[in-house]
Amino acid sequence: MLKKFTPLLLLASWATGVWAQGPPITLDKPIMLGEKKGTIRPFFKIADNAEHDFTAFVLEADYNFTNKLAVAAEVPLVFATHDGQKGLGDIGLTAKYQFYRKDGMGKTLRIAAKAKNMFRTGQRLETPTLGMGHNMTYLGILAARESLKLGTQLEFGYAAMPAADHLNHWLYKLGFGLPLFKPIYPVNQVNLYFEFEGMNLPKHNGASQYGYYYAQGLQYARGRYTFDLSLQFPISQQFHGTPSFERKLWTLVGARFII
Amino acid sequence: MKNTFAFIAFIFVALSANTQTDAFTLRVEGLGCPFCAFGLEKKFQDVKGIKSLKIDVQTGKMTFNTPAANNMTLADAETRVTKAGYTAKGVSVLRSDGKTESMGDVNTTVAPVAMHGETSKQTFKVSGNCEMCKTRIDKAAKSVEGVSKADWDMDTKMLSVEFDPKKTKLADIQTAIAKVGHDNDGAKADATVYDKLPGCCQYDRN
Repeated sequence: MLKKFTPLLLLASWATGVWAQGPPITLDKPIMLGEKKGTIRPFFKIADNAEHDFTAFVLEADYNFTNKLAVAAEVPLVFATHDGQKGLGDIGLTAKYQFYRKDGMGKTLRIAAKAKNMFRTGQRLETPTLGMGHNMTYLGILAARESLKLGTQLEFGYAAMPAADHLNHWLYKLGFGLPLFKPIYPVNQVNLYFEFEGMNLPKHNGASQYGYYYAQGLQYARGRYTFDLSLQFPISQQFHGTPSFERKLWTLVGARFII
Repeated sequence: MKNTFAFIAFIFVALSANTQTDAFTLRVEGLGCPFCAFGLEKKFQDVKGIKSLKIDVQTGKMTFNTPAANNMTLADAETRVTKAGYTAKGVSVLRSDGKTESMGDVNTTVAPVAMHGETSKQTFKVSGNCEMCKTRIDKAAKSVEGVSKADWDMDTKMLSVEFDPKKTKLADIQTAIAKVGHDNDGAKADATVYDKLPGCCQYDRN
């Protein structure tokens, strides 16, 4: 299934001339918008899962200490859960350091290292955002090649939970952005996003555990505000040992405000 | 009465000093999307009295005016760009007293990205002197396939061209103009070609 879709989408993106226009929706970004600046991002995540459905209001905030070093925090408040419980989800703290930057006229290549820790503040259901039940450390690399002609975002990393080896996983993401209007500043733009996510967990009874997802995003950006909508659905997934990882449809709707 | 005139003169001088501005132009690299310009603009917003700040994400050109009293230096402007996370390729300023200062490469204009079916508009410097030069320069530019308009200004020495970026690129136009004897921002003419230009067209190459 994945093999079938991926080349087609990549080809479609290339054929229409992919432009990168704004922040990706389901990926993280290595581009930091200036020293001592930040972004506040409130959004709703509506997760229709195989086992534990929930809706979460997530507040994300990031701050750039320098033009290379940023920290971020995410606090999810979960409600409308499968069992009617509400409260905190797993809180996350992230640090990013941009170690490579190559600028050209109207284009840039940036690579950053990312370290994230998710704390066990939510429910103990081995369900991302709602609550894994274990502290998790994630180390990854973010890369972005942005130009007014072509934009690509990548993320690759490993999430480790020392207290629950069976949940350790590789995570990889790839995203493209396509603006529907010519890029101008001040920003007034409608963008389409094509974002892929994959994860691999340790084998369970000899069977591979993996999930491949595609997210179709729509973004409206005007001035310093951005409004995002993304629908993520599985292309292929198999989690025999951890069915709580199985997703049916994740909807993400929210906004961003640059401070 | 004398004191009144002196007072009025003092107020006039003070007011005019306040309205005197330095006009900065920067060429910034790394603006891969309009959002990048946010970070850049915000880094300049705390400059006292800054006005008319404009950023063209397609050309990387940033312009703004600051009160001359700020004494903002080229290095100050470059540092702000760096702290915003971008690269200042060139900075120039036209001071309120008419003097200009520059560092790096701020004059070379860059190719704005054209959407499908659009033409790219470019302006760059071409050396020349007279009407004959203008005819030669415009003709050379228009001889390149894909160029729809070419207009060289004898006073500013700047050539404005419009072309289809799918059919040609700026460098090809600059090469064509150099081939007929006119140095420009992108290419230099051969000495032999330059020597064959009529006397009135032999511009100062120094």
